[in-house]
Amino acid sequence: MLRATVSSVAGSRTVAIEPAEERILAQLRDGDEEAFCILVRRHSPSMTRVAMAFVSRRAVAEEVVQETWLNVVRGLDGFEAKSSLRTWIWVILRNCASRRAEQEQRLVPLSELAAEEASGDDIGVSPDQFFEEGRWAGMWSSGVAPWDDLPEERLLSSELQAALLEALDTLPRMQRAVITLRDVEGWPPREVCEYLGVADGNQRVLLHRARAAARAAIERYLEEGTR
Amino acid sequence: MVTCADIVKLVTDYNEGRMTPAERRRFEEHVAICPPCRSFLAQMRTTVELLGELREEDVPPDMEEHLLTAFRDWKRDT
Amino acid sequence: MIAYKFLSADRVGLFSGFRWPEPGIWIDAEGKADSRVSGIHALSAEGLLDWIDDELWTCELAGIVEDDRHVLVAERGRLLERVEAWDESMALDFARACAARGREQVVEALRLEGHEDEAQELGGCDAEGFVKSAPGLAAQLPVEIGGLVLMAADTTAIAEGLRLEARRPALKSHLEAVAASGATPGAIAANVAFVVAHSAAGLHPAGYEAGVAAERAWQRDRLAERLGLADAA
Repeated sequence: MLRATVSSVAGSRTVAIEPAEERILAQLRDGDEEAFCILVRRHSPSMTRVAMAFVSRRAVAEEVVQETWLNVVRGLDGFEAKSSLRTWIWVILRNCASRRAEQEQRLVPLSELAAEEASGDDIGVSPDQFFEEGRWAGMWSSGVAPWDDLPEERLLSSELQAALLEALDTLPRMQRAVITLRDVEGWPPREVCEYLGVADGNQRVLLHRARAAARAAIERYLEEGTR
Repeated sequence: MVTCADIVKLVTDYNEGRMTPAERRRFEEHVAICPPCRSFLAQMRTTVELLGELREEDVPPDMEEHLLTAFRDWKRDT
Repeated sequence: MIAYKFLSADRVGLFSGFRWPEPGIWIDAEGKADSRVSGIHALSAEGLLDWIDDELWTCELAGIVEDDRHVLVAERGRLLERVEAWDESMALDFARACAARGREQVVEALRLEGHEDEAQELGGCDAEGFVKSAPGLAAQLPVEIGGLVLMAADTTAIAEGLRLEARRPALKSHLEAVAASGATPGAIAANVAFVVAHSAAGLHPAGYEAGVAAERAWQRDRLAERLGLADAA
């Protein structure tokens, strides 16, 4: 009997298999430079995007991420593995980012930023894509063609990845943080809400708007390729 | 009556399982008969899958250099 | 318990994107509190019309089964057999039959409203002729009935695989978006049947809801007859 996630988008998703955390920890404590580099490369891009929720400027966020890793290195000997390595690294990031935000006097709580970004009527698709009035009010006024009409290679390409990353870069900061933790990193909703200190309802609106923006970026990328 | 704009607005609630059974039924009944909404739903699903497949390697080069130095120093000092 | 299941091409579930395994292999829905979210969904024969898609399968369900207006939800299910009769050809045939009724109904409505000439002209058209003539005639008619004429033409064009005719901006239609959305024959059948049922509804003497119910009943019977379903209502 196969156990299958029938609704595959909500809740857990399949992640690429990563080396077991104990192994990484042992490698790090052994001074294995390659293991350290892999860890840094694996997590830094998402850490930077999330740090930008706290400090907003990318250059400052990168400094926060660097400081986080320095703290990780310093703390390796004393790390008791009461939480996972991943959790520990992300907690250090939040601490560094919060401290830096205080120093820079950017003290608006994330929960407030989230509420702000979640406000308003934006449904994620421009209103000009729908009929405004008449018998077709609220219905699509332009076609929406399936993406699987296009060759699979286009969907997996590095150019598309670049387009997606650019789309993430242009998101408002809380949307960017939420979509990074939920969809790029695969964290469940409650964990994201607790980590960022945002209400579940706002988290969902932010996720929705960010996903819609990512979809639009993919759509644009695919359209450009067919011209 | 459920409109396409409703589908767009509610798709994340749907995917997150945050609808009442009645809402879910109305959502699905519309998608079943509306080709553009079918495409949209599938596109949102693909979008989430692709985000989950992002594999970035870019770390600012001076950051990586600085961190490696710190790592070596720590290794040497312990 | 044996039931039916519509799937998109390649045994893919429309809402989940989940690809069903080959017939015979049981699928277990995730154990969640609300089975209506994660359970295995299937249809009784009466429920087929609302969920038309590319592939029709019989399936077997096990475990707790809820029946909510012909949608069955179970803990476990497996596909049994593909209903081969439901293929692209039958789906489009069904769509064309629904669209033909849409044209008849709007011609009748034109007659009833005293637009004899237009009724005559469109009544004498075949499908393709209707599609070509409709926009010009619709532009001359009062907006309401003109819109219904165009809807009949557009659903016909979609069902017949014809290009939708250009029309005045004021008569711009959602069905043009439908036609531009890469719909499969199954999706076309689902859409055309629905649109015709709802446009016919406005013309029904007993009112809108009665109109929808009457047209859906005809469609349901037609589907059951073509599929040779023994237990259809």
